[in-house]
Amino acid sequence: MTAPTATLPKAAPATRPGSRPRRRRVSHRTRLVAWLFMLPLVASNVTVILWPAVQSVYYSFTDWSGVGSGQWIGFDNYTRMLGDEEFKSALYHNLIWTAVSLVVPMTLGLFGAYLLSRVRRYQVLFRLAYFIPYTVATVVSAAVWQTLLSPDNGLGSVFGVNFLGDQDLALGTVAMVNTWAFWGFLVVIFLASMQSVNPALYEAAALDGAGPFRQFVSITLPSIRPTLVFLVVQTIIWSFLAFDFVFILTQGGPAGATDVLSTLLYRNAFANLEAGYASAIGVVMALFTAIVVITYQVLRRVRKWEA
Amino acid sequence: MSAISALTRPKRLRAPRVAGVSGRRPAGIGGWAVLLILALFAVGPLIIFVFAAFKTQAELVDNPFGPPAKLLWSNFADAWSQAHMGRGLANSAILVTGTVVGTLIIAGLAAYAMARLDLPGGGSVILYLLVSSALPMQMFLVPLFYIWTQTGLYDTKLGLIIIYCATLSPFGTLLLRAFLLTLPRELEEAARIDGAGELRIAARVILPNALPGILTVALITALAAYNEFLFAVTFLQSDAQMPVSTSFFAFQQSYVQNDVLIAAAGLIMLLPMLALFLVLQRRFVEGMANTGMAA
Amino acid sequence: MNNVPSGLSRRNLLKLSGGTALATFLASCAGGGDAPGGNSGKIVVWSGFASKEAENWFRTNTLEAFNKEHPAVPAELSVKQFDNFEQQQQTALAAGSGPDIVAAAGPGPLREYAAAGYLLPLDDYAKKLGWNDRILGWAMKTGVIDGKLVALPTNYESMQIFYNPATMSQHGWTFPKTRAEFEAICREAKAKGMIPVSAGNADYKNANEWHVSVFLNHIAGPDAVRQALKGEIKFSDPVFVDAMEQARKYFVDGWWGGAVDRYFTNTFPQQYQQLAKGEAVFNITGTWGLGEIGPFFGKEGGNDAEWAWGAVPSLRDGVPEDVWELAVGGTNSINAKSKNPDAAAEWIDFNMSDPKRQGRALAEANEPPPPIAMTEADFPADLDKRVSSLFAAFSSATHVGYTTWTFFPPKTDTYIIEGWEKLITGKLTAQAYCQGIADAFGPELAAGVVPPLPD
Repeated sequence: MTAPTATLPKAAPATRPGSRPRRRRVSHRTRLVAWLFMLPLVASNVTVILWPAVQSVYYSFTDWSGVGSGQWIGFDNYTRMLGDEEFKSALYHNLIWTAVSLVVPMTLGLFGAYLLSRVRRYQVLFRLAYFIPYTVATVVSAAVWQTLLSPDNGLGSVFGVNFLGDQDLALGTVAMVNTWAFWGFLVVIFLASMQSVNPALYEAAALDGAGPFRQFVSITLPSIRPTLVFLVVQTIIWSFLAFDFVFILTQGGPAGATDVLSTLLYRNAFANLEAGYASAIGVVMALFTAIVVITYQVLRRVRKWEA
Repeated sequence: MSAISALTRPKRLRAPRVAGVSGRRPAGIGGWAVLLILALFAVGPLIIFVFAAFKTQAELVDNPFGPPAKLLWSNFADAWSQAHMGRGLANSAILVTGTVVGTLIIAGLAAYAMARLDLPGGGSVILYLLVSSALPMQMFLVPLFYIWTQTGLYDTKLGLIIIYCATLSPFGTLLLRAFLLTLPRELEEAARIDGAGELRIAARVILPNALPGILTVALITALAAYNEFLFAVTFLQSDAQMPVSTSFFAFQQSYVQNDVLIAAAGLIMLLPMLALFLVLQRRFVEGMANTGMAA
Repeated sequence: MNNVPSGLSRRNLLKLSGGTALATFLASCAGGGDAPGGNSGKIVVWSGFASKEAENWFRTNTLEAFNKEHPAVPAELSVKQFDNFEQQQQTALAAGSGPDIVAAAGPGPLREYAAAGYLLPLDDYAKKLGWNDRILGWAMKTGVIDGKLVALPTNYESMQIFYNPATMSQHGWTFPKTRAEFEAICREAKAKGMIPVSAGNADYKNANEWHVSVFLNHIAGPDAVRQALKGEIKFSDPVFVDAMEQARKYFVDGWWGGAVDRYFTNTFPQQYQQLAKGEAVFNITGTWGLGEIGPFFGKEGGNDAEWAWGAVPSLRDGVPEDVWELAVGGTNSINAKSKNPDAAAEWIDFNMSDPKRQGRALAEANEPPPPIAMTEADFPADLDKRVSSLFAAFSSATHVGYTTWTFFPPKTDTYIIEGWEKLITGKLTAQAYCQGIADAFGPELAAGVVPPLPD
């Protein structure tokens, strides 16, 4: 949004004020300073993320229970995963979760933002309302919905169903609670992105007789595509890491109906004393997200979304 | 420089935001209706929760959704003492402050190096940060726990702050970097020609201009640290150290389940972050608009 | 009064089951830290309390009394919260620290603690202080790991039925003793729109094991369970398959909790309220329920209802009508790193002696007594007769049953809890569920990790 350039459509935003040529003229000293600036990040990251990650990869090749020491067992944990019904069902639940998250909050976020971008009055008020759930802690959101959905004196009794106790409804219900908590975040980002779309494009479209929906499809969506793709990628990643709401609301139940990979990992590591196997599950999850991230990065390069 | 002086400092490069886009038809009745329904979906459950916080247990059973007959303020006093909210909030304040400051320093320096100092190997660093902010953290609990007990960081707020800073700074770095990229380079070139050191340039020139981005990262970091409970429950043991998220969770799980007190405690817990968000929300939206997320 | 925190039952401790299990696990992989007890001239005792009254009782009647008798090495109390008591202790132990007295919520974690070297063998103290003569044999055995005594039981538990006598008389029912009587009431209650047995695991997923323990001992019968635990018959034998099929039908017919889905969302307070309001007929829970049920009845509960207890009836022909499950709900051990193990042993001994003080603990602080021989006279006159009679009933049981959390090896118990939900939601047949139990149990039997059975 840096003054004039920001109002250009950002589908091809290679217009950043003078940067490229200067890159090559960096001195050795500056490079050293650059890495010095990186030091706190590197130090904290290596301690808290990289080193534990490396250890987890090692554990995944052992039968370590978590107590004492483990034996190297090669790929046994990984082959075991292929035949583990619980793993398959958790993976399936993650896929459902991903699909729900890509459809429901995305749609709500896009339409909410689009409608908001077309109003001036009360825009701040609506934006606030939409974002508030995102500021609520998971533990509190869970309490809100547990009370609200209660089959005794909540929505459950109104509809005559038990949202969190019915094995066919529980997963969808938890995913909806998750949707409620984070779709407002999508609205704010989509809105910010939509507001930097060049108004002239809309004016031209309006002159051509395009209605709001046509404008949305032919102008808004293409203009915010980098943001959209970014959030799609993030949503996929978040969906595969889904943990908090499942852990608090259902603990994977009833009868494993809401088990996802992260709760399966947690249970194997800490209740079943299968730390090696749990690590293998974690490695598979990490590989998956790495693939998504790298695909996204490659796509960005190829499509030149960011110079 | 302090956030307050920064807020009042007039030196901003941005043009005022255009709220609605002129030349377009505003949303019609249907549009307003959808906006209202969405707002109801967002805040409706919370309003019912607020109602519950003022009721008696018996009233909640008879009238689960409607407003309370009269406001039972004593619920808040009871929840405050029974859920140890005072102690929890004080601990959370320290955790959040430490995490925000730490993350801003870590992410600020790193983002500056990547956006402005042409960090060698920057592309791989971005990829690494993206991947490392997308890993299942449950997997790291065990190795981390071992390191933390060995180093005496276990059961200390500092230990938890370090974990939060480390897990939140990749995202913060990426966001700040994207933000810095939108600032024109000419800004610091002049200072550099004048012979100012990199730290000085970062502090005096970049920082003030990057304020919306910084506040955005601060808000997201504060929310994450305040609301987190898995690491808190694992890496803090003493009751005296417990932040409000674990106090609330313990209270909610405790045997004497009292829905109205849980609602009251939940409200007490969400108010500070709500207030922070209301104060920072304009800057937050600006920050989001100027980062790679909305690019 | 025991060093196990007042009201510290398996359930209290495992309430945050995830977190606790996590700590169990994490604890085993850490090391270093300070020696327990800090200064050498004292023993440190950790305890949690359900109320300020319970804490005060403990301070006056246990702590001060002990310190008066043992001024040289007094005990020092550090108050903890139930919710993370075990987690705190395990992580402290792992760091080579922790209290002098290691308390656990039953024998479950003992094998792990012992293997990790946290616990001091107690055999010499047992001989010196005469514990074998004082403590009930079966309970004492639960503290023996690989031939070594590492823990003393501090309280014991059983399973019973709570009911509301007014509800029973209003519908013309009498408390059932047989399967036919029990099922007749359940059928009638269900037809009237009532909940035959209030039950649910929303607050505590492992409540599954209470129900399975009841079904194993009251449908299959204690003899079959005993034989299976000894490896003489298999858990996949028809006697168990039939029992689980019968139990599955109870759940599927909505007798437990009202409906299968409700079982997953019913909380404990709800269950007691349903009983008090006459919406439910029975509630099946353990003796720890004595400390929970009170506030939901009478003046405190805002009603004029009363509660009573009864023995779980025989649920199959040929199974005795008075089977009482045995369970150890808490244990005390000595920290291997303790600098004052002798004083720690004295503390444990102190909590195993003076039956009259134990009786008062039950009356005044709702503290279950340790498994020592106690007579009617040891209980004070003002003790709620319902409480003393329940303890008298199961202490003098002629037929004992075996709870999964005391007598089953850990992986089998885990499978029993997890698989149970699959059984009642139709994902497993009774046959498959029992086969799963047998498959989990086989290797553990072979590995010698099945806890010792009472004689």
